Amino acid sequence: MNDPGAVLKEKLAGLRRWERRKRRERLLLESLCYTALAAAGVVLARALAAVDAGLLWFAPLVFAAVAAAVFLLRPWREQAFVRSLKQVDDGLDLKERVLTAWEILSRSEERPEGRVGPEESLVVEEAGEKVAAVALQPLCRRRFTWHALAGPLLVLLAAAGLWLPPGGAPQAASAPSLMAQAIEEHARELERQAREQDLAESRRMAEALREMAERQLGEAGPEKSRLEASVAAMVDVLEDMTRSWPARSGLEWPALSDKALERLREHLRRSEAGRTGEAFQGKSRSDLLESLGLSSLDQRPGASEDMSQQEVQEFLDRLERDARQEQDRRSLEGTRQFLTELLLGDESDESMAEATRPGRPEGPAEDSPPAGRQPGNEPGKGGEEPFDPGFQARVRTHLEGLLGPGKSRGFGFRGEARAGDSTVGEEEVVVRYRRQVEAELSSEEIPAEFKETIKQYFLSLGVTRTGPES
Amino acid sequence: MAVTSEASIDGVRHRMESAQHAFEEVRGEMRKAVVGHEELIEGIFIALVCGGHCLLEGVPGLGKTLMVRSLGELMDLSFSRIQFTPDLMPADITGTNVVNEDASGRKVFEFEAGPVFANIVLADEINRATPKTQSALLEAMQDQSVTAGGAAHAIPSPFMVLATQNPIEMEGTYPLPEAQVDRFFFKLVVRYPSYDEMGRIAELTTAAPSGGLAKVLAAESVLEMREAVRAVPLAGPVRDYAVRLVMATHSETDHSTELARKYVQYGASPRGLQALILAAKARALLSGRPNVSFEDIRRDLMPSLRHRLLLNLAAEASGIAPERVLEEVVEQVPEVQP
Repeated sequence: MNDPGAVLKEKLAGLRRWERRKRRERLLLESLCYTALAAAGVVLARALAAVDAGLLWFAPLVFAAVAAAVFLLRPWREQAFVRSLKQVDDGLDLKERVLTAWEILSRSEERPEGRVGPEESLVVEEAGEKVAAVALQPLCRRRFTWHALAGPLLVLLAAAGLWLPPGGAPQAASAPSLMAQAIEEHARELERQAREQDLAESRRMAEALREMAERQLGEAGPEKSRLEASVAAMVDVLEDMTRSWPARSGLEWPALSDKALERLREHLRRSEAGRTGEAFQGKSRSDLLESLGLSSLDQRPGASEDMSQQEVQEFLDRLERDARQEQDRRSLEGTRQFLTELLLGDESDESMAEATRPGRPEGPAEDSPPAGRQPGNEPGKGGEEPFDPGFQARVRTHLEGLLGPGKSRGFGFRGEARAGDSTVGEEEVVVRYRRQVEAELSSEEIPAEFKETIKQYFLSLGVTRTGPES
Repeated sequence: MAVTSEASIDGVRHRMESAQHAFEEVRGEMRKAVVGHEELIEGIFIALVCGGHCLLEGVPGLGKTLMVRSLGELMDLSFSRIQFTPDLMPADITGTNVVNEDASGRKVFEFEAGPVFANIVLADEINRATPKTQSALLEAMQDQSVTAGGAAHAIPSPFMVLATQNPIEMEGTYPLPEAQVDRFFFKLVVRYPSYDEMGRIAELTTAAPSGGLAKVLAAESVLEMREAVRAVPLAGPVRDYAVRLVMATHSETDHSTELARKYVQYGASPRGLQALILAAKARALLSGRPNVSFEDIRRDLMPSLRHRLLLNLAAEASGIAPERVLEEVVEQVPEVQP
């Protein structure tokens, strides 16, 4: 082994093996990097768009395919070894002696008897002597490319991403759960209200809603589509119920605010039926309604005819039942609107929490008017928050019209902007607007002398009455 | 690998040491007469041991002629100087047939050798002669023989022409055609001496003249060195590097650099590549190294190729010199192909 040529040959063969190993490692790391990138993409897509995470099982196959492609497209080239030899030369300051010697040794194998000239032998000898006592691998250290750094990081990222719940980013991923929670909360509130006010239909609906929400929450990964389907079915049921709601007393209940309705029921419950019946014996229905503050709601003929005590009693009983049913209807209508808004989606947590209060959409809330309607904060009066009805937050829409005494010539609300034909019938929209305007009329914000005019205007729209009107 | 005998390897070592020693001696003697210009001396010596000719370019008074004359003096070689002027005729350089009487009294034509018949020829201000006269010298440079009266007369070896030219005086000059410039192995640019060198020049040239230069190099030694230079091993990757450097000056190839594409009309010729590699081999030999390195190639790139690039008018307008193009080539061409 004293032959410098043989020593050099052996050393260079070792270096070559080392270089090939490094190259294999590098290509595998690159393949790993690309595979991890794909896996991270799948995990991200799973978190954002509910892509099937089962795709991740293909990662080993992808890795194998990428590695095969990388190895095939970038085969081993001697140029890589030349670079290593250059590194050795630079590291030992040999001025390309090793590089030249390597070529001489390679060439000598092709020549007959492997003869080389004395000049070439001198190069091999000098290179061999210099290299003999030196380990070459440390001179050609691994160089970590960005693949090497990014590969493991991406693997960790992909693994960490698996902990994300599927179907969306953290907030979006738990949307079905949030929806179920909101429904459950609403159901609890509805149940409490139904119990307090003795609303049978609302109580049944609250139970049904709570069951549905609890069933969804009980599942490990609630599915948004299934929950939405259940909610949609519930909305249909509620629509049918509220549309075909019977109205017996013939009073214009929608004109009465929630609070007024509640007060009426409270009053009827507390009053002694016998005494009331006796007190109103021989008086007309209009007198009775006037004493209860309901005279403006009566549209039926014959209001001035005198009633017997029994008739008075029956009328009051019916009135109490109808008021309760009206409350029940409103409560269900509120639930329907809440569920509809929930279905239309992407409401903020705040608005969702706000919307969980049953009965909110219909009937003016006298005790707590919206912020935009607080005294001194009406639209157009320089209030910081514009009046924004609690419609589904989608596209901001502007309506022309004088809403209040302020300077504003319009107000904005958010509406669902969707291309295509309307899914809501014209009659239904007009009825809804009519209810709203009646609710407004019943409030004190509209001067009494204009109430009738406004009401007549809406009645002049020529829409056939539907729903609870008599 | 069949092991070469130690004697042969020692012989190579001895040749290398001799070459190094000779170069050191020449350099030492040159220092007595010439101040500075170490790179020039090295370049001229490399061209000598490679069998090439040198074109020295510099403003008057920088010591070009002195340097060449000193080189001729310290080598045990014949030296002649030709001052090129517009009225110089080719025969004034190559020599001509003259009528002589032989021993029997008959008149015969005999070839009277011109000054070109010397080992070292100084062609001073070569661009002042007419192209016809220039081409006579260049023919001799290329073929190392002179044809007169139908007979070829060989010029003794080693033969080296050291031509000088002044780059600033264009009036009454005949710039060398590109094809002829290409025949020069090296083009060396003589620059102004540094502050210290200037002081030493003043001291050396204004004092009492010292003794002459010793003759330190024989013709045989030069020829031996020429053989040794060609035997220096050159690794494939180093050779490829030289090829890529030359190719990078070709504006129409994919290897070319941006400046080359923009400003080079004609790139370096294969003769330039030969000069580059030979010069690198000679540099390795004179450095006492048995093989050529990338650094050798880089160091000889400028003198080998600067006169072989023909730039276009845009380069002239932009003030781009061949050196700038070559600098970019060195910067951009990697040693080992990626």
